[in-house]
Amino acid sequence: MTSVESLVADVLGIAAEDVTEQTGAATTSAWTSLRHVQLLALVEKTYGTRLSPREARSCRSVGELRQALAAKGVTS
Amino acid sequence: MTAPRVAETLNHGLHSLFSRDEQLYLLGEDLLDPYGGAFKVTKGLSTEYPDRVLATPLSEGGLIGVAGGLALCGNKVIAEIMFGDFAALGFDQVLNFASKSVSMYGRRVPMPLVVRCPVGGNRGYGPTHSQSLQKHFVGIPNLVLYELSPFHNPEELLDHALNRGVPGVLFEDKVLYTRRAFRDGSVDDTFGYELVGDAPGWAHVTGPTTGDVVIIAPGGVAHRALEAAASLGKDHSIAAEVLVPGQLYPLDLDPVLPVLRAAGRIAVVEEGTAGGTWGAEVATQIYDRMWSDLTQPVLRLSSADSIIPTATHLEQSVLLDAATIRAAIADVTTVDPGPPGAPPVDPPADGTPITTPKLNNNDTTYMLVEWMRAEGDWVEAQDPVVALETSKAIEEVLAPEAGYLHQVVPVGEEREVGAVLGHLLPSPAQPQEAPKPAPRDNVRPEQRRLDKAQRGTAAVVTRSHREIPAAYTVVKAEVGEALRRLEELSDQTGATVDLVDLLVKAIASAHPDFPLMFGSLSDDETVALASVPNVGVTLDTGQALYVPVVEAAGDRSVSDIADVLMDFRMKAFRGEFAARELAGGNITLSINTDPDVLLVVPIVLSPQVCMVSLAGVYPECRLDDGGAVVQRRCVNIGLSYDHRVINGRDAVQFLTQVKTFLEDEEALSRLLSD
Repeated sequence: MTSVESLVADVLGIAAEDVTEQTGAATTSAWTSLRHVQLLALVEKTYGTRLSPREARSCRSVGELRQALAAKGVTS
Repeated sequence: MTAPRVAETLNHGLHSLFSRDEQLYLLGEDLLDPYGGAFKVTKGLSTEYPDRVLATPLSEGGLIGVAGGLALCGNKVIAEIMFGDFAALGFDQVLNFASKSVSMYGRRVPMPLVVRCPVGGNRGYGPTHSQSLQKHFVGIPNLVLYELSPFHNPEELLDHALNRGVPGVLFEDKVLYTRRAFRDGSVDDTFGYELVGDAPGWAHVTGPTTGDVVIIAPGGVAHRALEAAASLGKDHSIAAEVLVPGQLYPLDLDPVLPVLRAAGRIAVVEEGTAGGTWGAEVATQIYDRMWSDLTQPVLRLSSADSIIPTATHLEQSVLLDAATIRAAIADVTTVDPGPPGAPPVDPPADGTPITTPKLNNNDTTYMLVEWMRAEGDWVEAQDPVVALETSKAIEEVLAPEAGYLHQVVPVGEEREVGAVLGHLLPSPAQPQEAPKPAPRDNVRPEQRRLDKAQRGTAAVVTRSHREIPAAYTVVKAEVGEALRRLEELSDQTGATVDLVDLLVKAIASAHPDFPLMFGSLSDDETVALASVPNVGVTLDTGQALYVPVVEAAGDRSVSDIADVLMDFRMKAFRGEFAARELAGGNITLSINTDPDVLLVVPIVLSPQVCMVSLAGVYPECRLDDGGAVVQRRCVNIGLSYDHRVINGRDAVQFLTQVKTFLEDEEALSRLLSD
């Protein structure tokens, strides 16, 4: 299963080792609103899940994204 | 064994129902033996059940009224109208008594009543005995409409209708009576069928190939649709499927949505005249449910706008026939055979073809935009080998197995689904077999056709520039405080709220003072004002540009707007928009917030009269009151406006109010606390 880190790295165009739990819009300029949605769409496709609009808005960092997926029973 | 005629199956079904239910009555004109009804459908019933098969006077209003009364008293009743045209005389009883009785007495009252209406022409009966009046009954609460078909068992259909607790109308095309019923999944040597969905369900008729177009036809037109489908396959290589519903209304599309989505091209055919039709209702539901899956508008075909002549040759010129269905579908359905002059490609006997997969339901062809491996390269199974452009995205095609790549189709050419793009060979192909671009004029530079999404955008902006004399004004707004408050709200709620969400709210909040900005031009001299601000927002996914609409944005909180916009963004990437979400806007916000974007001049989307634009946030230094240098964060907010409606002064005042909403602390608090 592809890791969240590698998905984030692919979408943001940064190295996977630079992706941390804190990586997000507040810490990374590459995390734009467009990239945010691209990332979530890729996450949905990769893990076969769907995020509600509120869940999508709450995924402001890698850590929060992982928490949202865990709440849906998705191991990332 | 020869299948029974439809009238025989109907007669047999009625006998069976009467034998099983002693509470069942049949009322109608001239239906007693030995006559047995105008079409002999009720033959034998009055002899076997003389107390429950009742001949009535020639009064459709009277007989449906009595039938409704019997049903209200706990019986089950079938009322036969000799010719469906005369259902008009009983319409009041259907509309104002039978259907309303179900739910107007303070509790739900069962109304097991079915009105049978023989309809349709092609029998030379003339203007008042040949009509198809289905459309006049569509949309009456508590009334269910059915149509007899050669696929559906009439006994099961009637049994179902009599046990639903609501009245129904069963339309029976008279031409069907003498035709053979279809049974056991077979139509003829070419077509087969299956029934899908809960009873009464749909008949899904398919031939040897599927997927180009689906014809939705009620039972009375089913044979004409089948004839057209056969001809489309034979003469035009168009694979047509046919769907025949047992229940016309309310329409349950769910069981057949996968079939409709797979085709993307749909025709709805019916014998009635155009205007407020059942077919229009079907098309509307299709638009609502699968807008993004359609490759073209739903084709609706009806009979000519005319009374129905008695003379056979004139009647045929008026009523919808198979040839008209075939011609209309052939006109709008193109199965791309590939570029003219391109030679057929035969795969080498020892190679594995790489073919064009079906990547979506929107497109029939895709453009090859990149060979991801070079000619002659060794490719492992499942390696990405070629990239195709759809109307929404660029998709990679994986190698079906390992082999040496031999490219067949050059970059820049389109191919239909199933076409061979290249081969995977056990040994490298000869160098001279490498693909050459299709012959082109040596003088002309390479040309590239715009993709479908861009062609759609082109049509909209061209219309805007052609029709709207637009002017433009821009203001600068200081948004440091607004951004700080949005970050604060985001932290409080744990969910991002951004400047776009706030600006949608600010624009909507200006509606009471600037109603003209939310208007639409009815004609050159009249503007229709909107009662509520519905704000469209541009979303560019990179593959397609959407403008979904935040309805009643002024009544929503900023967080609610943020939810709606996030929902839209996700749908844009999933390609899931419904038509209604992209309609109804009365002002639009164009978003271009990438860093360093200073100024955006949008078009005006007709018939709207203006469009707001938001550029990127940028820092600015200025001197404060004490002369010290301070930094602030700003954005430029633009307004393109139709100068026939809005003048520069109005534009500046409107933008100033929006700017004030973003800058003034009290106004900000109001917007964020709503």
